[in-house]
Amino acid sequence: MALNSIHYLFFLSIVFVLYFLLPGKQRWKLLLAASVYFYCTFDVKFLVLIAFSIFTSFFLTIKSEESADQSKKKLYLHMVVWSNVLILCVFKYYNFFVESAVDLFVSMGLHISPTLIQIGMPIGLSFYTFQIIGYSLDVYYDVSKAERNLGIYSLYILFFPKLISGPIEQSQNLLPQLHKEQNFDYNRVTSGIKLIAWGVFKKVCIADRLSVFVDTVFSSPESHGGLQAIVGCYFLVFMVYADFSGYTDMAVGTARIFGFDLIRNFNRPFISQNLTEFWKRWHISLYAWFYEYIYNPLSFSFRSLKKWGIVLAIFITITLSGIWHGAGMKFIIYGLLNSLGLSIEYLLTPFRVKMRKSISPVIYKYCSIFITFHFFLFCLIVFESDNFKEALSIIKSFSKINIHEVGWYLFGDNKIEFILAFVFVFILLGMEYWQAKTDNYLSFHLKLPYLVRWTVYSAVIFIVVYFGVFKTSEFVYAQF
Amino acid sequence: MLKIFAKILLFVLPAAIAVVITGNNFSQGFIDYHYTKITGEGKSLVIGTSRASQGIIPNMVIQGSNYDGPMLNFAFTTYNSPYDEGYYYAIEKKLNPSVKNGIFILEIDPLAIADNKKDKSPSKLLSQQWIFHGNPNYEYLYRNINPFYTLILRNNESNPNCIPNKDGWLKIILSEDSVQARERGISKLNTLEQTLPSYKISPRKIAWLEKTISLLKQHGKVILIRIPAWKPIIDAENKNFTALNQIVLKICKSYNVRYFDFTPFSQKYKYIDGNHLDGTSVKLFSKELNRLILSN
Amino acid sequence: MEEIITRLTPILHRVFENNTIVVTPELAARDVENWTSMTNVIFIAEVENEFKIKFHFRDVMGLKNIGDLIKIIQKKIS
Repeated sequence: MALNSIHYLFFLSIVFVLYFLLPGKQRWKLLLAASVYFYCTFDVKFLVLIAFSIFTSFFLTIKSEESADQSKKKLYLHMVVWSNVLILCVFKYYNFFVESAVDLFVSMGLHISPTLIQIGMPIGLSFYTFQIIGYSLDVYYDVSKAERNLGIYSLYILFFPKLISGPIEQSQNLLPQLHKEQNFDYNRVTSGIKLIAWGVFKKVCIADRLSVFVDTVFSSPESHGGLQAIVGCYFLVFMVYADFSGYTDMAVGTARIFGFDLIRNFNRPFISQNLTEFWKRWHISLYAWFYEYIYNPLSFSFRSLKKWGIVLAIFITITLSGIWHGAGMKFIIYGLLNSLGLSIEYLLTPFRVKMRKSISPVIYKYCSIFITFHFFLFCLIVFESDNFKEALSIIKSFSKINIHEVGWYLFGDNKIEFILAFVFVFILLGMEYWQAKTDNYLSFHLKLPYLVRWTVYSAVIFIVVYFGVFKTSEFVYAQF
Repeated sequence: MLKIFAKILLFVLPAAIAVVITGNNFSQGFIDYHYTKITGEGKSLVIGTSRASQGIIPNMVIQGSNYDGPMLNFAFTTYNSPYDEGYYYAIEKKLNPSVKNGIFILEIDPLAIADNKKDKSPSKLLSQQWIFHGNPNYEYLYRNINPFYTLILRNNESNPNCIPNKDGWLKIILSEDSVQARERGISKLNTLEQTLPSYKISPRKIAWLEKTISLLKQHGKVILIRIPAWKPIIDAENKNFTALNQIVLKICKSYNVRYFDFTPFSQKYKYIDGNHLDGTSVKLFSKELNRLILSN
Repeated sequence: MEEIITRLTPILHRVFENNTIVVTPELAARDVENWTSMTNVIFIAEVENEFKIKFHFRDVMGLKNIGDLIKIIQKKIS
């Protein structure tokens, strides 16, 4: 059930009405039932798997907390962590490893034909296994207490708004909230609905619109012009951003309706002046997870290597984060590229400090933003292409602009779509700029006369209905 | 809480009005190959695939008969309207419930009752559609014209090669030059010879065909036909689906309906692409059907 | 405690490249410009060298300010 479907609209409305009709103490049970139902609409057979992960992690984490023996604590922790890592690896990476091994053997003259897994990927696997691992580590390090209520813990893992696309919730944020009774707060509920509408706008008016221009380039990398490549690549960044942040908005908005604050996943990433800042503004919950549970312990372990310890920790962490996105060479390269960028940035810190002091702050700021944006764009081109060679050839084609293309964009059938794409991206960035100045995280409490507000709401709905692109394109991050 | 739902309805209203106004003013031109079938009304129906869609002129078929009219050509394509769940419910919704003496011509095209190993889910065109009456059909327009504003850009254009008639008959205008027609036929035959072997008669689709017959029998007379095509193509189909006639005749016996196989008379007609009757032949064939229903 | 602060001061000056830092128990990362997660790791390594102690990851996880650090150092020394 995609979050931008009519089915979800009905589902949400029913859960919403029932939620506030029920007495406060029972409400979380409804959410749990709704979450189980939601999961089943994707694939019932994997319910067993997620149930297994939930039950084992619940009981083992309690045992770990109760155990006085440090080595037993560690044992239970390892059992939770590695069982989830194993499940993740089997479903996500097994086929890739086997195929790579086969290729390797073939290149050595040996032919083997092992069986590949044809069973598909459980929905949300990458997100919930990480959440479980993070939770068990939090309890081990006494950052959180183990949850004693199996129902609440199950809801913490299964909670349907964040199940298929994150944010990856940390225990200190969501678990305590689930224990609280949530009352009906008109402003909070309407703020959640507005956020959902805004997310739908991003997905349906921006992401799915831009994807046409992006697909022109990436689905046929040999046969497109230079201008198409440029447009396709720049649109790619905004397409991924609108798609993912739109989906996150729908998730956060839904949770907000029911009274829960999820971690925000995006915070105006395109104003970042360096990569370190960028990865604190883009897919925040994922990188926060990697930072907390991988980078911190690693950099601590490598501390005797000083600077180079940090570089090593960066490489391992960020390459792993690339691999999290998928099984394939290009994800490894994506991770390595980002590691390289971050490491170089770190090693050049003295140089950068000097530059910042010696040139005009405005020039420094906008050059930094420009460089950071384009580095990310380059990485994303690699991510989107089928392989690294293809990514390079797309970039090389930037110089091969021919005059017909200008006509295609400005005078052909696509001109209105092209203009709309620009207008909507402009609206998106403008709204974010304005919200950053006035409010916290898109609560959309517009301090305007009510007629103006109502006009704006109607206008957004009108734009979504009239200009929305409702193709059957799946949400990009759903495959994780 | 009610306040919230009321407000949401209020905010959706301008968008809904815009959709209705646009649908009203811009849907009279060419929309697509199927729209006139969705919006058309008929007490009697033609059911089947593209051979029926392009090959049967409804008002010629029903002329002079006592059956309830008008007749609507509600046949689509092998992809959109094989005998399956989607088509069955579409027909059920399309049916005028008060009809007691309609005539229903069901075309048997082997591909309409066969499956290959791929995706068995019904095509979205008919299966996701709820409403099959009304003109304009806002639901159909909104589902199939995307983004919706592009309806305005179509500007009531018509497609020179394809004229969907108000009675659902799809008039295709391709050059009837016999050399080109023959070339198209050969190309079609080659494709078929490659793809047919992967198709087998599907018990699932046979079941839906039987359900369709049961349904329509309650509203009038049901006739099964097989529309002629270029002989090499018919031969290829027969070679692949050897049990076809046997299966159909068995169904006819169970449901007490008659089956008229026109393929032995393929040489009588001409085809624009080996698969579909050409302009003159469509008229000829429709007259033949008329004679058939008048005498039965 | 005073002795520990005296020994910590040159380390902070060196690692965070700032000779004006005044070391007090309330001093925390947010008060010092160059004190990032990266420089923090190097800082910890230097503290270990200076006091000839070894931290566990658990020890440094919850440190909020210099005061917490001093407590841990005292514990490790004795």
